[in-house]
Formats: sequence, C-alpha cells, structure tokens
Amino acid sequence: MSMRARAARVRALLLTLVAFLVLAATATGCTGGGDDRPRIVVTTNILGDITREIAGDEAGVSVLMKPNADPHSFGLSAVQAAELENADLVVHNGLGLEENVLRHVEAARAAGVATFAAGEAADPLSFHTGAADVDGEPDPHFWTDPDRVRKAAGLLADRIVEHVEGVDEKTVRDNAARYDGQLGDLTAWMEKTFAAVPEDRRALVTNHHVFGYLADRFGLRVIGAVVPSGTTLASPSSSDLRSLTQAMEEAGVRTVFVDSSQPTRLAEVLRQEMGGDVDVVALYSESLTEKGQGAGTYLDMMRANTTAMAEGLTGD
Amino acid sequence: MFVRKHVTSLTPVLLSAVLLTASCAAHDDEPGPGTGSKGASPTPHGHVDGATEAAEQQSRLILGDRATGETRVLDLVTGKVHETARRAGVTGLTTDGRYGYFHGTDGIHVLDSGAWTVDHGDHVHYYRAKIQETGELPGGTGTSVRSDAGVTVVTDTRGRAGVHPRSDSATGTPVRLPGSYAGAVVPYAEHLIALTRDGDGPARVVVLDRSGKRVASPASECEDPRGDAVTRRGVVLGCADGALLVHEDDGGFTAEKIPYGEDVPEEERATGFRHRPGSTALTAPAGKNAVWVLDVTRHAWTRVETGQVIAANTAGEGAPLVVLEDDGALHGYDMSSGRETAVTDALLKDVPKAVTGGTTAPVIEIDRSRAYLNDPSGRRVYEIDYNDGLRVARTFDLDVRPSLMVETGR
Repeated sequence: MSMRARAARVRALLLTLVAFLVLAATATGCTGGGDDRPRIVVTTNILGDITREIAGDEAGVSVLMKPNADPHSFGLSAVQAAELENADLVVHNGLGLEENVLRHVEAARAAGVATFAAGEAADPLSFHTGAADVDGEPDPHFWTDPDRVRKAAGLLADRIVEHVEGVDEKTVRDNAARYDGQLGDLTAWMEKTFAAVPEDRRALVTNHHVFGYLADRFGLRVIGAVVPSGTTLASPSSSDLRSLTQAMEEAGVRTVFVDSSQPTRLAEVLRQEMGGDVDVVALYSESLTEKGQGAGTYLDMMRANTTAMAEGLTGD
Repeated sequence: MFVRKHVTSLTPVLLSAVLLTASCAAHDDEPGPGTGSKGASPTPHGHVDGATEAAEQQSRLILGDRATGETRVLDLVTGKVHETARRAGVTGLTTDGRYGYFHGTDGIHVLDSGAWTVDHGDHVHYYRAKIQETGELPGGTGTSVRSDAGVTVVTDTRGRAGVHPRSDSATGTPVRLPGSYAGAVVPYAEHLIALTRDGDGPARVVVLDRSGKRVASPASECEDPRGDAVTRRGVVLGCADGALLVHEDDGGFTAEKIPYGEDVPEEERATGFRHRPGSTALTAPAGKNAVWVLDVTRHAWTRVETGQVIAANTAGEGAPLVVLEDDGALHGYDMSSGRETAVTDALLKDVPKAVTGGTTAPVIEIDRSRAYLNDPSGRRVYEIDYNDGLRVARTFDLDVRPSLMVETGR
C-alpha cells in the first residue's frame, strides 16, 4: 500500500511537470499564426465535406476521421479530444456510427458545446438485413440517400447560424442554397441513371452494409453475401463460393459489389463456378478518399458509386 | 512493481504533451492547454504502427522443426514461406492467435507472426504486419502461456504465474500473482481464471483481477484438472468427471460442471482441448479409439468412435469432426450421428506409432474455411477443405520438417 501511495505521488509530480511543459510549449510555439475564426469540429470525413461546403470560409472546419478510414473504429488523439471540447459546434453522425468517439462528443456536450447529430436529424431507417442482431436498430448510414443529406445539410446550416458566433449569416445561407441545388441535381441524375437499369436487374449483391438508404430511395434490392476468405481463393470449392453464387442467382445479376483483397481472382473463380462473365466491382462505402482518388468529396463518391452500380447492372 | 506500472501508464500523457506541442506547429488552431487529454489515446484507435488493415482474415502458419530448431512462417494468403530465426532446443509451440511461443528448456521465444484479428463485437478488423522476433519470456518445459487482447499470463510447472502486458510481453516487468495455481491461469473477460487447491481436496475456481486480487470464488470442484480452452461461452477446464465452464455475465462469474454422465476411466478422459478459436465445439481424444466432442453451448459431451486417434479437431456446428488416424489419413465424422462421412488418401509419409500426448505428433489446425495438417517427414503441410469431403486444396512443400505448427491471424 505504501508503494502505491508513493507511486501516486510520483505520478502526480510527473503530471504537474508535463502540464507545465505543455503550457510552456504552447505559450512559445503557438503565438505566431493565430486563426481566430470560429471552429466547427466534425467526426466523419463525409460530414466534414458537407460542413465545409456550407460553412465556406466563415469558420475553421476540422475533421477528426482521416481519409480511407473506418468510422466505426477511428479514435481521437489527445489533441483532437481537446479540439472537440473547445469547438463552437460539433457535427457528428450519431445512431451509433462513431463508436469510439461518442464519449468525447458526450463530454463536449456536457461541457456546453453545441452538437448536431446529422443522422438522427435525417429521419433514419431501421436495418432490415435479416441479421437478427441488428434488425430493428437504426441504420446510421443515411448518406447513401442524397435527399436525406439535403435535409441534414439544411438543418446544419441552421445550427451553424444559430451556434457559431461570428459567421456571416447571409454567406452561410448562400452556401447552403448553392449546395442544396447541387444535391438536388445529384438526386435527379441518380434517379435518371437508375431508371435506365432494367427493373429486374436493380439488385446489389454486396458485402457492404451501408446501401439500405440508397436502395430504399431508388428502388433497388440489397442482397447480402459473404465474400470467401483469401485462403480459399487459391483452390476454392463450390461451398466456399455458395453465399455469393446463391445471392447472384437470386438477384439474377452477374455483377457483385464487394470488397475483396483479390478482386481479379475472385471474379475468375466465380466465372469458373457459374460459367459466363462475372464482374467484381468495388464501391466507396463509409469514407471519402484523398482528393482526386475517386471519392474526394461526397458528391464525387455518390457519382462514382452510382456510375459503377448502373454500369455493373446494365452491362452483359 | 507498482511504481513501474504507474510510470508506464504515464506514457500516453507524455505522448499527449508531445502531440499538443507538435500541433502548434502543424495547425493554426490553439488547443486549450491541459484540457481534454485524459481518456484519449495518443494514437487513433484501430491504427497500429506498421500494420495494414485487410479486407479478409490474414491466416498464417508458424512452423518449427524440433530436431534442428529451424522455424518458418507460411503466409496462407500469398503462399510464401518466410524464414525466421533458428531456435535450437525447441520442444513445443503454442500461439494466442498472433504471437507464436517457442517453448524451450530454459525460456520461451516469442515470434510475432504479423497477422491478427481484433474483435469489436459486431464487426472485426483484420491486420497484417511484418513478421518479427519479439523477445523472450521466462519459463521451461511445461510452462503454459495464455493471452487475451490485453495480457499474456505465464504459468510455470509449480503453478506460479506472472501477468505481462501483451503488447510488450517479452520486455515489461510482469505482475507476479500471489500463491500458486493448479494448471494454467487463463485471461478471460478482463479477469484471470485460475484453480487453487488446499491440501488434497479438489481444485476450486478463483477469479482474479489483473493485479492478482481475488474478486470472486464461484462454487466449483475440479478433481485432477487437465486442459483448458477459451470459448465465447466461457473458459472450459478439464476435470476428472467432466468439464468446468466458468462464465462471466454482467460482471458476475459462475462455474458450472458439464459432467460426462457416465464413468469415464482416467485414460479416456479429456486432457487437452482443441477447437477452432471462436467456436464452442471442443475436441479431445477419448483414449485410443474415440474422440470427445464437447458442445459448450448445449452443455453436452458426445463420444465419437473412430480409428486409432493421432489428432482431432473440428470447426464446429455443421462441420465434420476431422480425425487423423494411424493409417496416416484424415477421416471426417458427422458429430451427431457418429457416422464416418469422408476419408482422404494416406497423407503422412511416416505415421507416429501412438498418441504421445502431444508435441511430436502432427496436429490439425482449423479455421472458418480450411484445416491444416503438418507432415513432418514429408516436409509439407496440407490444406484441407473440410466442407468438400476433406479435399486436399493445396499442398505446401517446405525445406524443413514441420514437427510443430500453429495457425495465426485470428
């Protein structure tokens, strides 16, 4: 016990020292390039892009999740956690998406920071995947429906005007109106694109769990499938591929939209198994990429996915 | 030792300080000094230095040659063989799903196979990283090593145990558990499950926290404990009259006996369990010509009559019981009817004379899609598609005799 007490004292002393060093460092290191714009902190990079479109130059927007990351599992650095507690507004998805960030958002809210849960504001759907453990739970992946993003973006503009002091309301409203127009165009174009796919082929065979909203909005069916593991592809049997081949037969399609580390090999073994041509197409699901890498913005991501789906389902 | 532990836990704070300082140079914004650093990890969760996240499980086999001490790692996704350090005098090989533990007479060499899975409950992450030598753990022949995501527990033959942080199990100073225990101390549900014995009576379960403090002693009795396994339903401990299932629910621990329900002679009781990690179907030889299958979910033992058993395993419900018999072939059995459903050609170049209780006999490793069988004399490993009539899917030829084998990536 005395060891423990001593340890606690040593620890307290060290913490004081560390805190002092931090203060000293921040005092000397940060006086230079001050950005006194108000700050909006956003959890996911998809919401980050949308927030930047609306806030424009009126506020500094920090995005916590890196490009090409997983919103379910990304966590915060100490700096990011501090940023969050000092923000004028925190934008997050909610509905259980950002598992490892939620407690920080809650802490910020408890400390009096305004927060906006975009997914919760966008009239969420429930999962209906057939998987008993998630069915009935709210589905957090609302961004695959651009209409819901439009709704959330409008509410977000209201929140920015309301909570972020120092922004010019007219500029924010103008930004929001312009982006709303772009989202409207996106929806109209997606409708037209999917309408060109024969109705009996509007089926997504996929191992992604994010396209429920898109399917609901544009009249597609989602048929879940398990992708065979990497070790089986060298010498697969029918049973290894059964989940995918059954889903394809049920859907009447020859294209699967799945993540695989060996897509070429997977397509090849599916061709051998089923005869005829099979395509394996990757989609963007839960994260934007770096700029210029295919899904640098929300609009890019939606256009890329829609094009990939329509081509995959229409081609022979 | 407490001092050391606390000092170690300062590392995140120190790192935070560095990060806070660094951020000033990188960004225009100025985080409030001293706020928000508590509870936040210094590096983003899910990110592992030097590791790449993969779309699918990254399965690898760690292999060892007892005669020469040569070791290899076989990447089952690429089919490539990596040469790793020679470990003269190695007598056994175990794994926790990522690290391989080469047991020698005076120490345990730890090898990071660079493949593992992190389970987040509703979804999992698969990682791939460089294969590297990690260091050494104390212990001689008979020492057991058991890990979970957080800690590695080393229990010696006298029942004394040390708890190492898993991330640097070979370097950190262990927390020495008080007293001594009957059999391996097993990490489970943020706690440690152990058996203690007073005098000649049967052993009893104790639940310890990570510092060794006793937090629960669920009512239990285990005569002559031998063998242990961790399943989703709890920790299974082998006893003379059946298995003891130690289960955590909402912070409370219970121990429940799953009896054989008949008199089982000592030479036919289960003494070592093998299963697919994550599965709740355990297998163990039941004497010479039968295999026990313990269905942990249904609390039921099934005895499947087989030929002379050298090794056995199963992937679980819906999959066959796979048994290596003394004809050098694998035999598949339906676990509910006991009927033989498949048999391979003779696969082993030399068949060991009898079950020797362990380390020299070939083993069957099994995952969600394939089983692996080592053939030391044939210098090869077979990959078996157990859902396709025990079809040999691939054969990996090696430049060593793989008398020791474990699978990692899970």
